[in-house]
Order: sequence, then structure tokens, then C-alpha cells
Amino acid sequence: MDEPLLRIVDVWKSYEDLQVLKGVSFELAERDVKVIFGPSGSGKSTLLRCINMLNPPDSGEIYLRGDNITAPNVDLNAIRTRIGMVFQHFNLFAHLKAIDNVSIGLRRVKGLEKQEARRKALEALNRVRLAEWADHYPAQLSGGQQQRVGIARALAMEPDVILFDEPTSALDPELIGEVLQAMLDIAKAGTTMVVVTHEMGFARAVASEMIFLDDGVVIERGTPEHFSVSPKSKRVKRFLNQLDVLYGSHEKLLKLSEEEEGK
Amino acid sequence: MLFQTELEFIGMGIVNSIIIFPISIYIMRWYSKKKDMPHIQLWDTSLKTAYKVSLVWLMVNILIGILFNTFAKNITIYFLIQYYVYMIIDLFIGTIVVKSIYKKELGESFMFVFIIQVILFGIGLIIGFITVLLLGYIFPEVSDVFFFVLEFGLFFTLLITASSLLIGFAIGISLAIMRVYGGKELHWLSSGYEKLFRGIPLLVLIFIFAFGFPGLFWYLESLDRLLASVIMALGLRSGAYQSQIFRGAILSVNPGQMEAARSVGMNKIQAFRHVVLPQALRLAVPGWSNEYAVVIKDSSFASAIGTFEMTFIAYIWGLRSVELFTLSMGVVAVLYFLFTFPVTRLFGERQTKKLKKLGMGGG
Repeated sequence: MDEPLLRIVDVWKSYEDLQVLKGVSFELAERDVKVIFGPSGSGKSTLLRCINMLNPPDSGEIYLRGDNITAPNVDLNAIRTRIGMVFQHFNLFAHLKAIDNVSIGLRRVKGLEKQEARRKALEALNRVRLAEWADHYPAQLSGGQQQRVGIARALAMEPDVILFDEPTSALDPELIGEVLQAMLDIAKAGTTMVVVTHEMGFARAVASEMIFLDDGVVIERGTPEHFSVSPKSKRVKRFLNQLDVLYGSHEKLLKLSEEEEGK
Repeated sequence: MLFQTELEFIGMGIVNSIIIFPISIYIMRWYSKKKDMPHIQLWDTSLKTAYKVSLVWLMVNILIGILFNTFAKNITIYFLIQYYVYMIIDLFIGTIVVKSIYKKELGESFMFVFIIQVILFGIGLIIGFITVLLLGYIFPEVSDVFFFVLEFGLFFTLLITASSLLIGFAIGISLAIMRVYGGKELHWLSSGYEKLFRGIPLLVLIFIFAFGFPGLFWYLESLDRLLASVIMALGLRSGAYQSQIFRGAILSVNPGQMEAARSVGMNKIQAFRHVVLPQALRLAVPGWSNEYAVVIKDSSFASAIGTFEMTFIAYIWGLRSVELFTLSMGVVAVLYFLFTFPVTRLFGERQTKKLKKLGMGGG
């Protein structure tokens, strides 16, 4: 079958007067990891929210294994069980323990028995190395642990694809590593993923393709090597340079501030 | 005869459950913490279970009290024994209910809880006797009015409060849902209801239901009609206030929770039922305990139409002379205080602490 797992065709979306997405298209094959990056306000999060129809697009089509999920009479709840989502601010269910956070979807949506759901949930927690924290409430977990529970919650539903909406940007630097590690693990295990992130290290390790989004338009796409060696457009170069200054060597930052002072 | 009516027993049982249990449980908790027991976890869960059992026990007590009130005509000296027997039956029912509600293995803690309850009940009864005797000896008048009010008024005050709160809960939560999720018409309907019932004095409402529509509860006896109309008035008004409490609670659940629930494939109803509502109910507890305090105090308005409850009983007592009036109103004021302050403190503050632990709610 030639049909890709996920096919996004010319998606447009606006919030009132603000045109956020201006015709975005891409395809995602099985076991692909796609990294979307770009400056804030470029429509990355909106794109993800369009894909799982939390905010349906104004126009354009999205196909999941050949099913048009933007068609009017589609059962969106059934579609969403096939698309996992990991949120920037975790959004764990505050009144439930970690294990119940993971198993509630299995029980209420997939209708599994309690024991079976618990077993599967533990399995998912184990994949993000949190099995021993199963009986803690979200508020008792660190940010990194909470985000891993969020990942386990998406994993447990066994979706076709998992969408990550800036999973590490609300975290302390110390906690980012454990979340990225968990994401690396499940990416290597063959999970199809769309990741909005600025973690270039993660992108280089697993991304099959990267997309640079700015102002609702795909500016450039290519492999991680392409972006690290020879990005074409000026906009991308500038953005990557800034990222490099932020995450990379502090000499560059010093140089930059000296230049500022020189002016 | 020491006890004249069954209500005295029931009143005592209720007072027992409300006053003696929490105090003793707090003492035991404090003791176990002070001794720094290694198995404090077990103690703690057992005590929590004891709490829940005694709460359920209390409710069953009220139910059985109603039954007794209706059917028991012959009161004998064996009543004390009977009372003990049905207390123990209550205890079993309570434990089983708690077990099925919380789906917890009580196992080893069951005997512990059971023994605590039996011992505490015995102690409570003895303390009760001693207090009654001492009080009767030192302040005969205070003791008289105290037990007169407890005997004839407490049950009805609690009945009115509990029923109105239940009616108000049903109305309040549906109005809140309508207001938050409903369309324009439903929103209009619920806010109209709120404005209407918040704008009418309670006494006027009671008069409307009691005398304005005398045929409203045609199937009841005349005294029960008055009681029912009081409950109706209090319940409808409480619904208006409770809808505000629940609306606030639903709105203060982070919208991300709904989104996350939808993202695992729940439909809107499932997401509300399993994710938003449980959190909203937890958030509503402090406000709701406040509403309880308002309703139990406002149940005193029932005295205006001559329904039996604490205020009316104290009023009758005081009518005999002016000096007695000060006394009886003082005693009834203390009783109301005893039934509001500890409860709002227990539910309000404990729940606020708990919510903080869960990272829910502000402040």
C-alpha cells in the first residue's frame, strides 16, 4: 500500500482575524519521526491541534491511513484514540494517580477490564521507566516525571501516531534529559511521531525529516544533516544561529553582547 | 424511666457520632504520630476508614431513626438493648457500604475499626450519661432545655437540612452544567432561576409553598405538608446558590484537562463525567460546606410556620417566662454553633489542604 500513515494536504487555519496556517502539507510514513520547528507564533502548535482535530482546520484535508478525518461525518472520538497527544503543560488528570491517568483511556474509551487496563498501563509506565511511581499523584511528581506519565498515557492507547507539542519547553533544564531519553526510546522502538521541539540534539538523533515553519508556511524541509550543514534560506540560518547561541557555546553569546555594546 | 422517647436515643447516637468520634479519632491519630509508630501507615488508613464508617453509620442512623419514628409505638425498657443491637447492625452495614464504595481491602484493619467503634460508642454513652447527670445536677435548667431541644428538635433540623441540601445539590449541579456547557437558552434559563431565587427572601418562599399553595403536597398529613414546604423552599433556594458554587468549581478546572481527556478519545460527556466533574466536586467542597452552614442555620426559619425543629422547640420552651427565653435561645445558639463550626472547619480546611496536595485550585 502506498498510502502514507498521515497525509496533510494544504491545511489552512485562522483564529478570527489572524491567519495562522497558510497551506501546510506534508506526509508521514510508518515509523517516521517528523520534527517541526520554528519561531513562536509560527503555527506549530496549531498544526498539531489541527491534526488531532482539537481545533479543526478551516480548509484542507488530513488523511490517517487513508481515512479523511476532516470529512464532516467522521467519528472524531474514534479518530483521537488513534492519535496520541503529549502536551506542553502535561495536562495530567490531577485527581488521578499516575497509573489511573494512563489506564483511564483504556478503561473508559477502549472498554478494557480493570485488571487488563492496569496491566497495560503498568507496561506503558514501564516503557518510560516510571513503574515504581505508579501510585503517586501528579502533584507529587517532578515535571519530567509528569511529562513521562503524559507520554505513557499516549502510548498506552497504542495509537498510530503520537503528537508531541513542545514536550520539554515547560521543564527545567535538568529534567529535559529524562523526557528526551524516554522519547528516544519509544522512537527507536518504532513509534511514529510528530514532534514540535527546539531540541536539535533530539532531532539529529531520530528525526527522519525536519520541517521549518514560519508564519504559517513551510519555509524549508530536509534531513537533520541538511539543517546542520547547509540550510538554504536566510530565515532558517538566523533562527538556527539564535538557537545555537542559546543552547550552544557561551562564547557566541559573549561576542553577541559585545557587539551590542559596541553599537 | 430514664429515657422517655426513642428520639432521645437517636439524638444521643447522632451526638455520639458527630462529637465523640472525630474527637477520639483525632486523639488516636495524635497518639500514633507522637509515638512515631513504624506501622503508622496502617493506623492512618484504619483511622480514615473509621471516619468513613462512622459517617455512613451516621446516615444509616438517621434513616433508621425515621423508620423508628414512624413505626415504633411501644417503647419498653429493653430499648437500650435493642438500640445497641441495631447500632452494631448499622456498623456492619456501614462497613460493607464503605468497602463497596471505596473498593478497599479492609482486611486487617477491619477488626481494628470495629473494635474502635464499639469501644468508642460505649465510652461515648458513659460520658454522655455522666455529662447528663452532672449537667442536670449543676445546671438543672440548662440541662432541661438542652435535652428538650435535642430530643424534639435536632432530628427535624437535621432532616430539613439534609433533604434541602440534597435537593439543592441536584438542582445546583444541573444548573451549573447548563450554564457552563449549555446553549444560549439553557444559559438564560439557569441564570434566570438563580436571579429569581436569590432575590426572594426565604421566609416569603416558605410562606408561598406552605400557605400560598396549600394543595402542593396534598398526599401528606397537614404537619408533614408544612415540613415538606420548608424543605422545598430551602432546597430551591439552596439550588440557586449551589449552582454558583459548582459553576465556579467547573470553571476553575483547567481547560487543559478537558483537552487531554478528549485527546485520549473520550467524548464530551465521558470527559466531563470522568475528568472534569470529579475535580470540580473536590474543588466545590469548601464552598459546599459553607452552604451547609447557611442551610442549617436558615432551617430555623421553619419555626415561623410552626414546624418542629430546634428553634421552634426552644421558642416554645422560652414562652413560659422571660428569663427562660434568654436561656433557651442561648442554648439553641450554642447547638447551632456546634453543628456548623466543626463541620465547616473539618471539611473546608481539610479539603483545602488536600487540594493543595493534589495541586488543584488556587491559593
